[in-house]
Amino acid sequence: MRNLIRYLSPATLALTVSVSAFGHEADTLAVAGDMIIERIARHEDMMRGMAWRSYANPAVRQWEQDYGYSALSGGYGYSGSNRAVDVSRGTGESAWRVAADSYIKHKTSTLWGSAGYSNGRQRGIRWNESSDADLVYPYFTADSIGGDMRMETYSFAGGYADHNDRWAWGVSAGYRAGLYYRAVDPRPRNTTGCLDIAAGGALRLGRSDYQAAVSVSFRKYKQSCDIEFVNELSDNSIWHLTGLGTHYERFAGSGYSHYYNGLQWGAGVNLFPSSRSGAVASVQFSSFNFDHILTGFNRLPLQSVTDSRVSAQAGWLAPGASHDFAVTADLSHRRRTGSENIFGDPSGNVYPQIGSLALYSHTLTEASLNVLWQWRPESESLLSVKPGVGWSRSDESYADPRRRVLLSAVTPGVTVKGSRIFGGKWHASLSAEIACALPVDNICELPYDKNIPAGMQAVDINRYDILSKTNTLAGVNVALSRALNGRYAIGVSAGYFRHGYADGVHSDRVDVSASFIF
Amino acid sequence: MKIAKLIVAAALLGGMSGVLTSCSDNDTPVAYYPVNVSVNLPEEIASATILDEEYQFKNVSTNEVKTFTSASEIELTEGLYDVTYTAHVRMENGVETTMRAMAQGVTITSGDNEINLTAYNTIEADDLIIAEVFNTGTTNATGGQNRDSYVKLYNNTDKVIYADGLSLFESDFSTIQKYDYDPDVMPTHVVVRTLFTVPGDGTQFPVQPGEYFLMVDRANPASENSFDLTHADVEWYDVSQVASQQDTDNPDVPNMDKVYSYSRSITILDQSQRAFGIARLGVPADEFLENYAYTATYELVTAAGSFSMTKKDCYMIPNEWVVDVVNMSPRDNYAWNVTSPAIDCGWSYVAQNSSDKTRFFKSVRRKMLYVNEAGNPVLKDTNNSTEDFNARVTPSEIELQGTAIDADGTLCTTRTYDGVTPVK
Repeated sequence: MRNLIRYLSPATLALTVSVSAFGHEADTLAVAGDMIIERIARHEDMMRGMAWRSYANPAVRQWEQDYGYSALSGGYGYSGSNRAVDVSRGTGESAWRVAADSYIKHKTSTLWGSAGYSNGRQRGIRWNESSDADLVYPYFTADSIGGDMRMETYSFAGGYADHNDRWAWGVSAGYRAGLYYRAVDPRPRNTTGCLDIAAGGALRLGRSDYQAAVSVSFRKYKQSCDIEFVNELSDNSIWHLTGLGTHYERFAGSGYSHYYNGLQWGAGVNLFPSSRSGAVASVQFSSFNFDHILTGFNRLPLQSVTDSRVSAQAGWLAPGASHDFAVTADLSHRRRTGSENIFGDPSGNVYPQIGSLALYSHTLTEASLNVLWQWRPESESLLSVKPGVGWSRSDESYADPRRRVLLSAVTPGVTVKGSRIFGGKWHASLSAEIACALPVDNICELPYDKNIPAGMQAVDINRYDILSKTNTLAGVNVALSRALNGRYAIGVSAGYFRHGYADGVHSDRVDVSASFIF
Repeated sequence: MKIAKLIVAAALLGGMSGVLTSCSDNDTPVAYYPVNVSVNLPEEIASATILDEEYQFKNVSTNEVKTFTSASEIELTEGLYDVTYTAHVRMENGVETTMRAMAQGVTITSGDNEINLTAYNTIEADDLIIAEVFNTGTTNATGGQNRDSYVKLYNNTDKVIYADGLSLFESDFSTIQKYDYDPDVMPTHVVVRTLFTVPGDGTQFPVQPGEYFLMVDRANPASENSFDLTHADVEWYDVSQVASQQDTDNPDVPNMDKVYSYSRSITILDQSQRAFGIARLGVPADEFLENYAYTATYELVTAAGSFSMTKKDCYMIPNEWVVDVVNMSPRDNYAWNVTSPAIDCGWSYVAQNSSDKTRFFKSVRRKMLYVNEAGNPVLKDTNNSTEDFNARVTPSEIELQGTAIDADGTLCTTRTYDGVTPVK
């Protein structure tokens, strides 16, 4: 990890400094007359986030905003629950972080970049010693002990886009690395690396401001894991999980060194008005494949996953002088199929593969409809109301022996936000949101198997028990910024969110941060 | 213009929903493939009537067991299986017996699957049986091994049996490393690397019905965390050629005759990845050493390539001389049985894995079925160590003497027949 830091730190600094330096001059040229406090107000405008899917295309991202905005920030986040919803993800985490973000406009060019570092702890993880759980599930390597996990993450990303009267293009790249470990038995040590590259192009449709855009993306992911038990008298049993409370019996107790190795390809098309007024549409497809490999058995490919996802967004943006209106509909459909490879009799430590069984599948379909209405009673005030409703259906199954968990819910919610500039130097905002997930159709088929550790089977039973009942989310966020002069400002923000489940289960999240904005 | 934009948006929404609705759930069911099983019956019961039969397929990958009562209904998913066949038969003379067959590492694929099994008649034991193997021993507070391992035999019959001439052996093949040895003698022999024989003229070591016969490594008195073994019936004393590793000899306890040991120093049974058994050699020891040596070749396959290897310095015992055997393996590292299914269809364990330091203070003990009218426990003996033994339980001598059950010196307060069933 010291090597990682050695390589990442200069790169991060170089990116941040170069972007920032470029920004000083460019801002002056491109958005002359924009006071920092006005840019802050525009940056918090909820209209900006309504067409969020479109900005995955780097060619389109140059129209995300028409002003430069950079921030250096530091903060601390805490989340915790009195009972884990999913113990393989833990009961919560706490981490402090520093980050630099910049978005610069210069004539027709746009440059953006970000770098971040966080250091903290994930708490109460059981039955999972792998990291990036949402990426590599259900193929965790696990023990029955678990515990807290220390974590450090590093990230940096950047992109460039440009356009002329007819064409537009853009590229972006990002890298995220993480180190996760525990200093007491069992002692996992996981290092993760994720490289994302995307490129896009757009064609202006006639003389309109509509851009028809296409994009392609690529991801390379790797996670290397080692588990060590220093106490020779501790229970050093490990399992390689296969989903919904099952595990790969044959290699239980072995495979302390393993890794995940994956690739993702994606493509998308967009329709986006460069004026950010009118119809927006975006369709994206991606396919992520990875193998879970046991290093000690001559790199035995134990399991593999194919995760295909199609997502789309369509909407209408109607900004106005005193009223803004927007509506967007989001749909996404994702199917993850997990295969377990079957091996014949080994010769020494080499296992010949004799077959493969696709036993695990997870289909996740989500849809949402959001409406945004904003009102400016005067030029320095803004009131936003965003009601919406979402629907989700998560269907996980294991083919043999048959196991299944189906969770679906309708989630209506609303966010209300008010913001105002005071005296030309202060900007304050207060937002509140509330949402309630109402179960629609739930199925739990998890028969008890006496040959599988009870704790392993309880993970999904408990998760179902909590998520199959009505749950609510409520939160508030407050932000305050003060301009130091026309170009620089400082700001603080704080947020509190509470997720309440049935039977007294709840989780809380607190975020505080301070920023230097320019 | 605005109307045109609305039409564009509506068209996009419609197209988008079309894309998504085409991605409906379609769980692919797991494919099952028919399996034809042929059982070759032993000659002596080829004309017997099969009363009932059972085919058991254990998926090596998942540990899932599927059981069928007829060969015509067997359908399985792709995978690697251990197959066990059990049948109750009535012979022409009216005697009912149990027949077994076993095959390990059977590959089931999407094509035609043919399995040929050779069945063995389960012969009721009329000799001593292994009641317990405590091969790991105990450790003291500093982690040093006390070398107090033992093997306990039991007279499960209703008549006196003499232990004279009975040999204790340890297999040469490891249960956690499978190789294709050439020649393959395993269907007919057990390849051993350690062989000690109880001395005597045939009447020196009588074992009464319901009595145990204790064979120990060192017949030492109790020490830190260990128990008294001076009451042992015999010990396998070994004259070591390594000055730093000398055995101890209790002159009050008879020594077993060393027929052969692979070790140049003292013989220990600590490794829990062998088969341990007892046999009555059909020939004198010198003739055995002269005529039953085993040499084989095998391929060692590594990531760096394949290498031809030679196995030597071991001997083979014909299966018909074997009285009883128990295959043992670390639980998570089991690869195969190193004896024919004719003498053991299963395996047991004390270690959870190859590096398990909690294996000490643990033994395998044969399960008790019931206590007979004479007050003696009747132990289970089906030639299947998985079924016959309780794995990883407290050794009987620790229970009997109330000594330590762990390196911290925690004293044992339980008393059982077999590590599980409490003595009432």
